[in-house]
Amino acid sequence: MLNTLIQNNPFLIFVLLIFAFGYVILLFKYMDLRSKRKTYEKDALERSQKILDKAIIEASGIISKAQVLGEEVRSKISDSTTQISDNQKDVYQKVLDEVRNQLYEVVQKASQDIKQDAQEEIASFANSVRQETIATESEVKTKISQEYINLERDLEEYKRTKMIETAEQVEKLVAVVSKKVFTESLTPENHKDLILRALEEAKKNNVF
Amino acid sequence: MFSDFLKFVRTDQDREILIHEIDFMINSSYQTKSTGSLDKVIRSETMQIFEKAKSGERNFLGFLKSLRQTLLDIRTFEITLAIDPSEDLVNEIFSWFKANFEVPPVLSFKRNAELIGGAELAYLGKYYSFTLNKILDQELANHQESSLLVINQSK
Repeated sequence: MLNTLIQNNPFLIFVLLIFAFGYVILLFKYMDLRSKRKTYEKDALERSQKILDKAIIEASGIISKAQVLGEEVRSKISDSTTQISDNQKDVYQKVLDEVRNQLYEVVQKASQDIKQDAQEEIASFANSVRQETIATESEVKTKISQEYINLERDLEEYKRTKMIETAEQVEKLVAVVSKKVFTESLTPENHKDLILRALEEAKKNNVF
Repeated sequence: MFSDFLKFVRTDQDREILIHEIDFMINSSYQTKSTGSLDKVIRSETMQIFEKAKSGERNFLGFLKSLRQTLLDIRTFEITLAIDPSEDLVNEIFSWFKANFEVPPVLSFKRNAELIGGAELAYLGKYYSFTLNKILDQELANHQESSLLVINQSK
């Protein structure tokens, strides 16, 4: 079957040969690259070790210098800090005193203002209350006076009515008593005289 | 002759009694038999006058009727008093009328217990009052007025 296929497709065989040749070439190149990579890796390791050693040495030097410089700086900073602190302390004390004084003045002034305001308010309120009290007292006095006048008038009217009623009752009583006294005190002679006088009066008045 | 009878008449009661006697006399004159009761009806003092008239008058019956009418024609004078008048008082009053009237009226007395003294008079439609009530009322009115004046002045 393979023979048949080869006999019938010479191009295919040609292609296959090309692929095989290419594969062999690629295989050689791969092996070469693999060898180079190992070389490069070894070389890089050596270089980096050298750089690292050098860096350590330089770092040690820097650290040593840094330690010396640090002591100086620390000392200077400490001195400066102390000086600054003292100066600041004075300034702070002055500011504090000033602030305290100002605050004291402000507080004292505020206290006086509040006190004055309060006194004025109290005086105003007291005056207002006094005025209102006077007005109320005056109003109450007026009302009481008016009520008193009304009461006195009503009382006077009541008294007058009662006096009139009493007077009328007295008059009735006087009338009854007078009539009784007159009737009982009149003698037959008195009756006769009165009757004859009535006749004379009637005649005089032309009744008959 | 009438005057003999009229002197017995002072009041309306006197007139009534006399008219009753006259009527009895008139009635008895129509009767043939004597009733025998004249002395019971007619007073002794008037009986004498009736007897006198009977003997003096020819027409006694006409006389009686005329007398009766005369009595009825006498005007009545009403007198209202506080008391029931005694005989003496009636006589006193009637004397006054005899003195002041040509023909004295018949007095008709009435009593009003409300009156105190004096009299209320009514004659021929006229009225006159003279009583102590009127005087007392006037006095009380004046007193009441004075009281009210005092009350008003004390206001």
